[in-house]
Amino acid sequence: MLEDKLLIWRFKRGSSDALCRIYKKYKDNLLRLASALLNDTSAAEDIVHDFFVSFAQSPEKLKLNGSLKSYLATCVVNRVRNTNKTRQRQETAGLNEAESAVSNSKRPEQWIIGNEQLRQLNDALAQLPEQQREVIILHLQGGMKFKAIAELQGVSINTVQSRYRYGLDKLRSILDSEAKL
Amino acid sequence: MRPAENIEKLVKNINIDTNAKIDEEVLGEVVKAFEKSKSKKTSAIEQNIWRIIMKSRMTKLAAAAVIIVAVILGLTITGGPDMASVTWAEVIEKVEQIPALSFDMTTEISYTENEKLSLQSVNYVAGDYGTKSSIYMNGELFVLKYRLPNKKLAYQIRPKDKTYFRFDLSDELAAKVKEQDPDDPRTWLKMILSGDYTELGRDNINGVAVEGIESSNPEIVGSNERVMRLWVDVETNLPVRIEVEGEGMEGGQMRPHKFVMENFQWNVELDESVFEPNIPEDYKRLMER
Repeated sequence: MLEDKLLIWRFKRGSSDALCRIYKKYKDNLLRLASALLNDTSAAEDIVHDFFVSFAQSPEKLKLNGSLKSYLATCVVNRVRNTNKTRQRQETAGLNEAESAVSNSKRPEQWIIGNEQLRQLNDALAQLPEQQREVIILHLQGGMKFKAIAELQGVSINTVQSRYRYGLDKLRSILDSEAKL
Repeated sequence: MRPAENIEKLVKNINIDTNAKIDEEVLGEVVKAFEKSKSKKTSAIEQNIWRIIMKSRMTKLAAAAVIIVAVILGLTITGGPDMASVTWAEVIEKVEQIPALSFDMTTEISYTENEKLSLQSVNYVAGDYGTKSSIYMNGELFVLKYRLPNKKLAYQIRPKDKTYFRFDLSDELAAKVKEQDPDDPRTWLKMILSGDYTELGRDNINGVAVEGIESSNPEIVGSNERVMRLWVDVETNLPVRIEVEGEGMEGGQMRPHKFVMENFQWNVELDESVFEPNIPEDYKRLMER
């Protein structure tokens, strides 16, 4: 925590080294988070990339109430939500497939190297209701406390805890059924 | 059936490997965006300073000029009978006769109570040529500013970006700059002395006995400034420090700023080459928005 405070202090005063350190320290975590929430590594890369560029452009906007890790996770989640909304609109319009073909063709190399375990888990997570998936990912991968997640989702802690419990039960059920196949 | 703890562990511990090459490329873009935003910020500040000095303060000076005549002709404020004291009218008279001078200036802009940006500049003024300011931030030269009214030109050069602005001054603006260049401390001196002021008494600046005056009259200091102070050497009647506190528009908000002009070298010899911009050929000219 102390290191993060120092990093933020230096970053806000123009230190590129501090920005690099923040990036290296948290980018994997944010990529995991975005990838799990979207079940799409390519889109997750774009979101984390875009987020860090935007983060770097406006250090003066950085105002932390909690931990840096939580702050970064919240920012990425908000971007994921926006992407999901856009996707829903595009799917309605039948454009999603065309756009993803174009974006894949422009990307010979992937940032995240394929990981079978991650894919299996992401597939299982993708079957959960969005709010349950978000709670599980944010709590377990983002390291966010239920209270912070409750604030982000605009619900009570009890609701978040229920979503977490139901989500875990469903996830276990999905993974167990896959294991039996 | 897997226990819940195992599922939690699975989600928590899942790892990803990233492509180091792309990772570096992304980081490069992030750092580039950061550096660009910093340079935009400093550029905005510099343009803000330009705006302040070219517009707001100028209008006040025109009205002030009439009063200055009265000050030069008759107004003499003296200290106690037993000590040397500043003859304020003589201050203007003396500095007006000086053909060239140099001084240092510090500009401080406050973003928050604890977050301040500090700029230092080395400045040259010569009646025959104009003014030149070399502005540094964190010890690094980031803007060179020339105002050359005789040539009807002004420049802002940014060595770090290899870019520059060139302003063609109209006859009217060139005449105004010649008479009231804000990078000439005499402009400020006249402004402070052009109206009512409060005497601050004696003080000592770097071992020099000085007397100060302060003006906070909005009719004199303008809408952007709150307070101006002038400290003058009691022995020589030459200014030792000029302080200006106020606020200006920066990043869409009014932010407090403070200028301090000091380390004056009155009557120095300055060659014309000092005021020659010499812009390298590979520098790109930017157009003023």
